[in-house]
Amino acid sequence: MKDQPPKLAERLFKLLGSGAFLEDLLGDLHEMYLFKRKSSGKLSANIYYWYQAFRMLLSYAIIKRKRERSLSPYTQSQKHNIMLFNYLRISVRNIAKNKTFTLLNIFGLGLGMSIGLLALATYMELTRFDRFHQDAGDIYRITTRIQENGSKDHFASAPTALSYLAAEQLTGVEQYVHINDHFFPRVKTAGEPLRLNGYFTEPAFLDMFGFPLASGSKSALTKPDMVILTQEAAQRLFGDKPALGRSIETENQGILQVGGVLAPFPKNTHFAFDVLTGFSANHGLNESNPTNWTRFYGNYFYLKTDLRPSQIEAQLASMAHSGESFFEEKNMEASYSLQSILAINPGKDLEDGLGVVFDSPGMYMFFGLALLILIPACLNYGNMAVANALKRSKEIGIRKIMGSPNRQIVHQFLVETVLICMVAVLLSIFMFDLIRNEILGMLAGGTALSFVLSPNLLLIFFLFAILTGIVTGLLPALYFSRITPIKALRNTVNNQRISISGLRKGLLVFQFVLSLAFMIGIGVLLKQYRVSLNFDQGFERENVLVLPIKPEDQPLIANAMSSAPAITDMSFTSSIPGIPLGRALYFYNGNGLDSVLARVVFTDDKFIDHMNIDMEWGSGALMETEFEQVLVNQQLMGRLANIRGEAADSLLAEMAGGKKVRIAGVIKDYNHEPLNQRIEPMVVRLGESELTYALFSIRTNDIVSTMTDLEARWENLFPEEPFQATFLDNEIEKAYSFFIVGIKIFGFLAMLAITISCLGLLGMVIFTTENRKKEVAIRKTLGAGSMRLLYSLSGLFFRMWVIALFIAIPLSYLYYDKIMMRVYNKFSGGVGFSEVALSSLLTLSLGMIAIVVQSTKVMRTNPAENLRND
Amino acid sequence: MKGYLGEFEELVLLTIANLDREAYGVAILQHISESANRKLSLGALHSTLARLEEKGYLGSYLGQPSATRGGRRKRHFVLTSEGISELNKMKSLRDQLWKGSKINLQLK
Repeated sequence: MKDQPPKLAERLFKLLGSGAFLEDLLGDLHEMYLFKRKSSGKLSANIYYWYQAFRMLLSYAIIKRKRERSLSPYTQSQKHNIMLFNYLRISVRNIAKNKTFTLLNIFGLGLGMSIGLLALATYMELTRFDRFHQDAGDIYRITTRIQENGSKDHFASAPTALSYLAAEQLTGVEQYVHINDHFFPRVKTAGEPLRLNGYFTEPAFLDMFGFPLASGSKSALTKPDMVILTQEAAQRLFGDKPALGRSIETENQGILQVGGVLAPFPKNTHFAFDVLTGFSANHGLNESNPTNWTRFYGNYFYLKTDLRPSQIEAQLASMAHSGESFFEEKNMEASYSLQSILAINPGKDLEDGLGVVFDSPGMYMFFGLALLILIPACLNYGNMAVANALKRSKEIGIRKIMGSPNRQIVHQFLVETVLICMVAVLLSIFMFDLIRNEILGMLAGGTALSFVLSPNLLLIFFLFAILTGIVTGLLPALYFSRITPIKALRNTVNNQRISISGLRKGLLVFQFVLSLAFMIGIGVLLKQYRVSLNFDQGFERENVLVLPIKPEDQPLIANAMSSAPAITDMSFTSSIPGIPLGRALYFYNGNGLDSVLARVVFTDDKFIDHMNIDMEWGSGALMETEFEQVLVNQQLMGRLANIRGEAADSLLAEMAGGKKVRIAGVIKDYNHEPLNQRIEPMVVRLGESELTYALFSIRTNDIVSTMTDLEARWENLFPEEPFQATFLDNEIEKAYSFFIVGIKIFGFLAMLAITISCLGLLGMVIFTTENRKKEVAIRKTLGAGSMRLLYSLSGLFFRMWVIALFIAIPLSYLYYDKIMMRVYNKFSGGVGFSEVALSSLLTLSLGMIAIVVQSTKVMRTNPAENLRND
Repeated sequence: MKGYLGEFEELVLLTIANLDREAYGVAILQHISESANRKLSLGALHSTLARLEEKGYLGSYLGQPSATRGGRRKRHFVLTSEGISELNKMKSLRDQLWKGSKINLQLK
């Protein structure tokens, strides 16, 4: 039919007049429409229809009909809240009736949603990034697009030359600031040097962005060697004492004066810095050169303007002409655009990004992962609900016969799933709370996120739960609403589909494979962790106390502590054994062409003896002689022999800078670094000015009084400094904390996979048992034993389990032994029999429990129950 | 009396009487707009019809569907005996008033 009245108007009319009898009115409207259309064309007919429909809705005719409708007891009530209350009541009754079912579903959906919550929370926080700066919407930065040999790159940074031109010549710009992010002072402290991340910038930085000063003044950014610290950095460096005016001694930037401390500011900004300094400080180190066009890594230009970005971009394009020749030399072409700071997170994945950037593709991946986990959980719920159809079919049949339309059945199921999801989301929120710190620790830039459970976020979570509920409930709802009442009442709902499709079996096998793989992973990690902690790394680690010190205090401390009765031995070193080494230097062969990189440990002359490190040759006691004496490990000795060939004096080596050293001893290779590092070439040197740790061997029966004694001695010497002694085993344990993180994450994933796969299995088992109720009943009445069903179900499950094993075991062997252990450096057995056996048995027993419980339930029912109605 | 019968209501009742079996929404609307030259919306008409039905002057039944109505049924309206007696009362009142007129109402 071509001449149809406007669909939308018709639909709207039906919707707004819902419940009332509209057929004759719609017919009248339709007839008038056709009449109008013939006489005055389509447009005016449409207008006429809309107008008439609208008038009709307001007319007494419809009002009266609606009123009559709502009084009628056998038809749908207009009072939705009453109906909703009914849905809720029936839902609660159903939920209470199937407690195990509900519990399992809540568990499955709760776990499934937890990753979704994480993704949502991340996204929500990112959208609030950098909003706390004043007029944040007006702040932009210049980004650069480079075209080179057909490849295109988009950089967050901009040429310095352009930024200086822009600062001088741009019109309509309120404020601007240059930033260079290559300021990394390494602060000398007791123990490891503290590496700070900082920006070279201008006083305008503090005007433009919402980083208020707590003390000092922004003019510090114009004076040489002055810095402004964040509150956290000041706390780390100086504790609770005022930092203003103090000086910081660094390894690479000389001595810096603290000219200001920032007040605490919100974490959700893309700027990530501990310290700010002016461009005047250490000018040679950055590339903020006004004539520099093509080397712009790490140089950023932010500006604030009321104008539209396109107006600034037009000005920039004309300024860019003076730089074109520089780019042409390198066969490059550059163009510039503005990026709002609000668009940085989540934003495009730009090259050379500043600070914390979560790019949109990454966010999509995150959401994808969340869906990947949520969808199986939803499908399992649907499957289980459908499998449970027989229990519900009578209710539906009766409701339908009493005149309830399909819509009401759909609503009933949606309300039920939403209700379950609302409970499940509580569990997810709990899970979210549990794992958020681990996740934040793993995410690059996780420090900028807080994941605080604000009321807003909770509201979003609940909306997400409602949405999940609706989507999840749709499958069972549609399935049930289509059941004809006769079928429903005769209990023949599922009869046409007795067998389980191959696809569902495949899905289940896949879920089992995943759970097996994750469980084996936990086993492997646990084993690695246990072995790492108990491994004899080749040095003394029992009862050794580690104390971070300042190198210049070393003689004082040695003197004060040697008289302590509990200390049996002591030595000093630049790095704790068992902890990764930060320093390395090159050894050269005679002509300086070939080299070996060796890690460096500075010690005193007692270190080797004290730590009980075995020597291959020579003695651990080093002396200062004509050439510096060093100890090398076997690795380094071997490599040196390789590159030097047959040198005249094999014990004379040349280090970086042409310094000649004499090898006074060869150490048997031992794991000075954590076990996940291979044993690398290493050199031990004497170096009084580098000794940042004291190691004490303790023998005592009363550890508490010993510690108080040592602390008293320390406070006697340095009343200002805290006493930070720890035991070496604790330090080593900390070095392996990444295993704990790994185990936690694997544990979470395994729990997820196991729960979801078990729910899937349960759904399948229920489906089968419910469908075979009659068969079992007839067999039973004919005198069959009741084990038959159990056998056949177990057989089915067993086959799937074996297939899953055959896939999972080689897969995890391949992954854990060949790939992951490459990264973690294999030193335990890797995938062993016990891990595989344990995880297989666990899945098997969980599956069997599901089967046994369900089939005994079917078998124990009196056969008469199942046959009575036929 | 079951309430006051308005001029438009009387018009609708008489139109229904004129149309007899063909008295349904659109037909009534068209008849009124042709004979009385009035612009009228469906909504207003149906409001009046609903009121008249409520007062008991009208009854209705659903007829046959037709293609010009998108396959929907018509609602036919018929006068009830109360409706007819009400019309008669109105007419006799009117006749009485005409007769009693002291001036000549005849058009010349």
